[in-house]
Amino acid sequence: MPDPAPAPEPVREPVREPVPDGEFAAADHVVGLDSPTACDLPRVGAKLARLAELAQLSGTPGIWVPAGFAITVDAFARQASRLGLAELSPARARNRLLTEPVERDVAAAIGAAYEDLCEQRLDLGLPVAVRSSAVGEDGAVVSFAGAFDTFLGRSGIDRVLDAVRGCWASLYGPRVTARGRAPAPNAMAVGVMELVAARASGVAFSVHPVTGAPDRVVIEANFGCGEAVVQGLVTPDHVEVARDGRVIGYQVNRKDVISVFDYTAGEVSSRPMPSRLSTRPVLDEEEVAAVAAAVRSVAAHHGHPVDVEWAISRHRRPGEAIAVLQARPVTALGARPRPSDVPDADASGSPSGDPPIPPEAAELPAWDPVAFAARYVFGIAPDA
Amino acid sequence: MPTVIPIDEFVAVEWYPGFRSAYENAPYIVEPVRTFSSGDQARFWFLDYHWSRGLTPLGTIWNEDGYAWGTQWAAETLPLPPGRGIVQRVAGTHTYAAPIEVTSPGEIAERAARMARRLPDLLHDFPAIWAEREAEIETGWQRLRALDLSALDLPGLGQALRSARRFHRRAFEIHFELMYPLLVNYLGFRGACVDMGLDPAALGVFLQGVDTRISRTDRRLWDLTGQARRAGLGPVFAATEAPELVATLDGLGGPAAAWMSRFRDMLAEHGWRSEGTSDVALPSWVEDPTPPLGMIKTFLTQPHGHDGDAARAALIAERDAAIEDARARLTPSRRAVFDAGLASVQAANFTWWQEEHNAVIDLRAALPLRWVALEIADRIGADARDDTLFLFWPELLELTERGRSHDGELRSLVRARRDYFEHWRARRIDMPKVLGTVPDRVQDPILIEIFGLDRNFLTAVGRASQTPGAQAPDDAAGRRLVGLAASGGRVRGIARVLTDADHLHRVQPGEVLVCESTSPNWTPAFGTVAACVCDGGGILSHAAIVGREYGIPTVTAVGVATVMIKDGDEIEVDGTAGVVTVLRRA
Repeated sequence: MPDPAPAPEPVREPVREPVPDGEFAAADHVVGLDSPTACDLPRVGAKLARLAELAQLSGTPGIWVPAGFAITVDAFARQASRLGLAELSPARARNRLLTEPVERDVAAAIGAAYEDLCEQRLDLGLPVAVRSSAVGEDGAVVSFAGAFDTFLGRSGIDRVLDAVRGCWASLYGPRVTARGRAPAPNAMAVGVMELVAARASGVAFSVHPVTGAPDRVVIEANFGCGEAVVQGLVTPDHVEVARDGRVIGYQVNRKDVISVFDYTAGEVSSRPMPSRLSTRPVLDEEEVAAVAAAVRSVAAHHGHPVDVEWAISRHRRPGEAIAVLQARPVTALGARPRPSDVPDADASGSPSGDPPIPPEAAELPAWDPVAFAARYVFGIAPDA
Repeated sequence: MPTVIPIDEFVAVEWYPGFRSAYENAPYIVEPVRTFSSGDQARFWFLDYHWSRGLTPLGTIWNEDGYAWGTQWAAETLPLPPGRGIVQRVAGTHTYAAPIEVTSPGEIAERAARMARRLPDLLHDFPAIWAEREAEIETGWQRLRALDLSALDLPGLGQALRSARRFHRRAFEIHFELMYPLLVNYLGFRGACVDMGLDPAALGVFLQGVDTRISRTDRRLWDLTGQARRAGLGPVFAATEAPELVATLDGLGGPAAAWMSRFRDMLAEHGWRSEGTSDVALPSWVEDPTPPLGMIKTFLTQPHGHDGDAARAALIAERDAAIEDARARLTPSRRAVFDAGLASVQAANFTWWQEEHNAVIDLRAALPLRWVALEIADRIGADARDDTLFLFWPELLELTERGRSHDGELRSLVRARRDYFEHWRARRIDMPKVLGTVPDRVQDPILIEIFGLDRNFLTAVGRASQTPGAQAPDDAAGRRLVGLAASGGRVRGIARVLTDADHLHRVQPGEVLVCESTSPNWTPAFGTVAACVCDGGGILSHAAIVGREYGIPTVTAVGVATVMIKDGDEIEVDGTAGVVTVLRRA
């Protein structure tokens, strides 16, 4: 193996000022995704704000956004100040976040919200997906897809709290530091959503061709939960759908891995796909049309191309809605950052003692292999 | 105006005697391997340099399963936005290749979006992914090596043959699955370095000095050289031709026997490799140890050994100094980009992998196929063990199914095919380096960086094809050749022009190696030659990487070096400027 280079020190952004105990109300720590205030991006991060926006779409035919709540950046700030993270190296900060219990008030607020969710679905120990939502993530110039952790199928409050700490810690994880720095890693919100008991799931995106408006939907699908697809563990079925709903191509791939919810372990795990199923198509015609319609509705709502993570519940019948678990704008390849998007542009108050950043720094975005490959290898021109 | 080099000559060519089009039934991903047809003239084809001997009928499995399937599978899976892999045409026994380009901007954008989803994790998890793939290959390799072929009946050998072929194909899926992302990442970072005002040539230095299996084998050979010298075997090596060395040393007893025992220990560990990339016609060192013995014979003519550990320490020191120097030139924000990019290209180190993977994949993937084929030859009473290498896959399978004996018909077929192979092997030196419609430039970065198909190469081969007279010895253009500055330094020496690795051990210390290209089995020669000049090869080709590791001036992508330089010419190689000058004709 090559000598691994030491991971570069991420620039530590200032954590919010410590706040005296008792100043927060529970409502500052947790907010329901169906609440209009959940769309407040600085408090919940881009991913959850968009989900909250999606939740407003719940009445839209064909889309079902699973119920859930957001643990806001205020909750993280409270934990961060209690643990004194601002003074710590990334590795130590990560370690503290993983090992220290969640602060009492925050834990109580999360517990109450989780109980509400269980009550709402009439399911004790409802399995949930716990997802990171960094402020600045996704909405930034470059795609940090996969940089922050997601925990699927956590059941029971203790496991939920563990997952929340895992999400917080991923802000200081090697996947982030290896890519330079988080786009604006001054805060992390966490989403907790009902886990869809998925028969099939995957990703779908409305393509943004170089020339203009999207003219087709691309769907990638696997059996079970979406983890194997998102992590690239499997070559999913690949479907292309034209604007008029015509299926242009359905490529059935050999799907060797399936992610399933393990009820005894209380988590999602990947396992080999039984060979009799691996070459069967995942979606039928009705399902393809429903997924395509759902991703188009989301794109239309946002007004720009999106990719979504979707799932089809085991209990779904033809004509019923598709679960949309996540949506984000399609990362434009080679897109040139606006100066305001560049993390370097605001380095004032950096605790690492770096000298002020010269203005020319805005010319280069943070290191990202995809964006740099597009720019330098494939000549996909910025702003093309 | 693009240059067009006619392909008619190769369209008309009959392929191997007894070949039937029904044999062209191997599955393919995007485009299958075929012989040339007239429509191919509109495309750009380059002569592949990995198999300069030519391929036997069974050897063409490489084209179908490795070169075509492997590149197309990997380019479609990643996917690579602008290309769908590489496709091949055969001219006689030689292989021409062409990129399969994606031209629709919409399709490129779609592929780019899909790649964007997979690339970050592929790169981030590269060490774990490679370890997993390496283990997969190792498991298959051990299973096939452990097969007792002599205990199998003919149908059993047929099963073993199929299994060996699946192993080979899977190994090359993995090969290209990893090569594409590594290269893309490397080139992305190189572009960023250029934008930040850094010397792109320094990138090779940033990544050097990481130990590979290939360099460990080299060190063992140098160790054995020192032991041979101390045992007083120098005169024996000097007086004996390489192919006779095994018998001679075994016959001597005493210190020679003790040394041979150590040499065989080395073979058991490092000898499971052939003398070239994936070719069933090439034996492993274990089967025929002439190549490593020839290298030791050459090393013994050097007064001083090669201290591999010291050389590596120097490379590491140079690397660390270069990185510090580059960082010092950058503003803090750019330094953050540089550090993150460097961490990424070091963790997924393309220049390291480009050597390392050869020991895992290229140099041994075809060996199990070879061994089963040789066993089948024994079973049917063939005249020579390698007769079966001159059968096409369906013919060989039929032998195992029908149990046909080695009759007169088969005997004359194999003889005719051996003649055909030799005929085309002799023609190799005159084969056009490119065919069809030569573009002004090639878009695919892989062809540029690995194969060296840069603008200079295309100009040189285009000109040479239009004016065969330019090969007149004292034409000014024939005396000064321009290529790619692959490894710095300037040196003079006598040119040793080689068509393949068979005569590598004849290159004397201080001479300049001139060849189409090098592959890992040529590596030890870099310990003795003064410089290296290649027809092909980009900045990431084997010769360029190893030239830098050994500090040997190296010029690649000259296009016509093996044509313009004659064996014995005195030449000057300027690896810094990328220029080769013929000083005196032999």
